[in-house]
Amino acid sequence: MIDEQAEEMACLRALGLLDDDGDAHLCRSAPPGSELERLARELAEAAARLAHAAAIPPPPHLRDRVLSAAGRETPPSPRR
Amino acid sequence: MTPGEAPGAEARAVAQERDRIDAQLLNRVAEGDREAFAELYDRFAPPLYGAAIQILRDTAEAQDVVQEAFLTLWEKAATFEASRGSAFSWAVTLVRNRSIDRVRMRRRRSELLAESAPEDLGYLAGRLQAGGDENAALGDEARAVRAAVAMLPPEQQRALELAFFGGLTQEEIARKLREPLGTVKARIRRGLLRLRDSLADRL
Repeated sequence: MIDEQAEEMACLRALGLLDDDGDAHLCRSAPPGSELERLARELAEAAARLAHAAAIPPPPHLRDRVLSAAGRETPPSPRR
Repeated sequence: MTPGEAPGAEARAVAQERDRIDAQLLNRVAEGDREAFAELYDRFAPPLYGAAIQILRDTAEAQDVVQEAFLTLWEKAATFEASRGSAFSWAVTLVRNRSIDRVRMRRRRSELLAESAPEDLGYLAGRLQAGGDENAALGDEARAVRAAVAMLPPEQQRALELAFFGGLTQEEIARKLREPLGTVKARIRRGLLRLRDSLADRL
């Protein structure tokens, strides 16, 4: 059972509003595989999806700009 | 839905497939695959650009931030770990953090108080009423998220909007809305939990 305080911390982390101490506390309380860890992850995904509520098509030149800029960069280092 | 299938199961399968494809693309980007990078751009750019504009209120700066975020994805793709979250949520975090940093820098420069920051975004409400053409152009996901947000009580929408797009803390939101801190905390918590449940049924 997850209490309200833990839920609140998971919400704050999802919205990028949790300070370092709070984050460390949440990490300790939510070990991998725990119910709270799953909740924190689900809330982070839900918060990220909020970006779709603001979605608008970017100008076509931005695509060219981004792809050209990546072309000028060194290719990513391969996985080790 | 097939008989006996739990409600939302189909939506969850669609969301898992979407995240799997994104992760696969990012893995190809980590190998230097430029086609995969272009495809990832096409999948992510509309929500990332929209979020950046919403936070920054400046198209030129929003374009800079989106470019920076994609270059970070390009350079650091090999560090991506799907077990820690989706590729999309990583990309949103990059754009949001950079955008909010720029807004805070602007505020410091002009010595504005947080209260005068996101004046009246009203953006989600505006997006929810967007015309059919715009919604059609953006695809199922934008429509589904807007529908899910529209199901939230207005005060929860507003609190989430100020936190996510305004980058305001709970205390700043409480001051801005002239509401007790506990009320704001409850709105954010209930709103986000409800949004998660609603999205699980829709995406």
